[in-house]
Amino acid sequence: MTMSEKEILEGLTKAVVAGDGEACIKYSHEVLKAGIDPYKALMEGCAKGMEEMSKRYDNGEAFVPEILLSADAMSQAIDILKPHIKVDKSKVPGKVVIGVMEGDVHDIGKNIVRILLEVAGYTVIDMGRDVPMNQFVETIRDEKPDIVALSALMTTSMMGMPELMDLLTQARLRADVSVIIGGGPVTTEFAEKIGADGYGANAPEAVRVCDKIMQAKRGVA
Amino acid sequence: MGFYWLKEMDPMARFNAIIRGEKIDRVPVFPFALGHCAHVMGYPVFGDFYSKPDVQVKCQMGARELYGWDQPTIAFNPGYYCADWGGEIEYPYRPKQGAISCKKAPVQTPEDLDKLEVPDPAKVPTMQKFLETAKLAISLKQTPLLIWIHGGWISSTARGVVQIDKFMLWFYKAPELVHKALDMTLEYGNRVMEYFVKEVGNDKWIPFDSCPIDSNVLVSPEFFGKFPLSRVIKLHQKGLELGLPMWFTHWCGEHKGNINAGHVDKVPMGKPGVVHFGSEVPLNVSVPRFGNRNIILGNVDTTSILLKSYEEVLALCRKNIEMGKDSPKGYMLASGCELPPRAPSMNVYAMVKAAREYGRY
Repeated sequence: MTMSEKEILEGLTKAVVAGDGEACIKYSHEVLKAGIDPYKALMEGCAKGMEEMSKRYDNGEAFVPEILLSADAMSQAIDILKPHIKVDKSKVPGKVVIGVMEGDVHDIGKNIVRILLEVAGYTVIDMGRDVPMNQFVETIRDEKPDIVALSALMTTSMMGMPELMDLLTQARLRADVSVIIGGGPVTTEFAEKIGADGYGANAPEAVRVCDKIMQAKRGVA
Repeated sequence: MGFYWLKEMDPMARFNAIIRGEKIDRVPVFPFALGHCAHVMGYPVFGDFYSKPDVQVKCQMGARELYGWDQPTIAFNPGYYCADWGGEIEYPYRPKQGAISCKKAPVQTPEDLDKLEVPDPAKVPTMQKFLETAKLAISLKQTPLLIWIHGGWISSTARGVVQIDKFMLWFYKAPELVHKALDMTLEYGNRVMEYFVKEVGNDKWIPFDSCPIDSNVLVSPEFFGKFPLSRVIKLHQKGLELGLPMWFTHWCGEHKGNINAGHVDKVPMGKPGVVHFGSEVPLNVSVPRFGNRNIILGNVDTTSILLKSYEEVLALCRKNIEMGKDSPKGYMLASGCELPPRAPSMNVYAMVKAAREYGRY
């Protein structure tokens, strides 16, 4: 029995929410068999599932293991669908460079933000953890991202954030890149104090902040 | 008012009195200072503090004398419960680093876990330095000292032993591996306690543990109850059976879910124990819930201590003292997590000043 497009996309969404990799593989093959646009399947099937997981995390109904399980399942769908996707750059919301500040190896929060940004369609350059300041500056110069997302779990590494922003200013890069920050000790107050463009208290909020920034940028343009 | 505090109790006498339930002159101050002790002692980076027993003890004694706070010496494991298992650690010799870190956990795959054996503390090189720290502190009459004991928690397992993101996925994909790894770190925690009791006795130290990765930002109360809780209970029972006086537990981060689920109540702490929640759990929650059985610590948030003005920090400390001062088994003014190593000295002093001004009994 052939499934309708709606059934296939809903199946993908449910498979991601359930963290069911096998179901993700099955529905991804159905996408290709039915001739559904794989980009549409990714955004309206998989990404919708991750959005649901974000909501559940916000509401305290899902935690890191559940988010990682969904992301792991989704990655199996992506492996099948991605080779068939022709990237339409106009559909990409923006480019983000993300990393954990120098001296800090705590990257689980950053990894979840990266996953959620990717499923929201962003092009993400993940610089990893314990990233030296000059490496951030060089990457921002080379990649020209719309946004740089900085994470810190320790107060010592958090204090690298204003320092990096100064370096971006000195390198004449700050005007062209929005800076958002997050992590355990980081607060809205701190973000305002150092002149960051946004603060995400958690991963879903970080994505919403990026969306807002990109909407504002597009509005200006 | 003059230097009235020169007539105060000695900090170590005050700490000893509060844990024994004896009368004290004012609220003790436990700033949870580690790297900051090295900072005020003139160390530009913290590698020596975390790797050299004499530096660790000297800096903590010096900082206590400088500020007049009441935090006893804490003996920190130079192996970070990671090198102990064959993992890779990095001491903070770079200026941007605030603490020791685990660079690579020894377990990346189920096969790695299969091959792993619970270490014998007597044969772990970094454990010898750990013991040296404790012995040095005891020889300098820094008793009771706090000794970091870690086992059975997710925090003792999914960082130093198993790669954290793998561990988080195992909760669903291979729960038997989670149980196995938690049992192994519990066993190691027990062995370390036995080792210290054998070497330095059971009356000069208090086991200290903390659990950031068990917080409800990361894992659900359901999973905390299902996986680590029974091990944490066993670890704490073992410590008390060994004759250790109490447990000092820092419930790092957001643990309201674990509190509401009744998990925290189940962990034996001694009579009393010391309970220190992160600033996410304010004193108006922790004092009524746990104050009848435990000494309560808290709860000035670390970012405020780092960034706010002296006056603002003083006011925050006053507010906390007013909430905690009359907690039935005692209260210590503390920061919500480790004191930012490079916090302004006057803001740190504000904690002591507030205790002197607003915390008199």
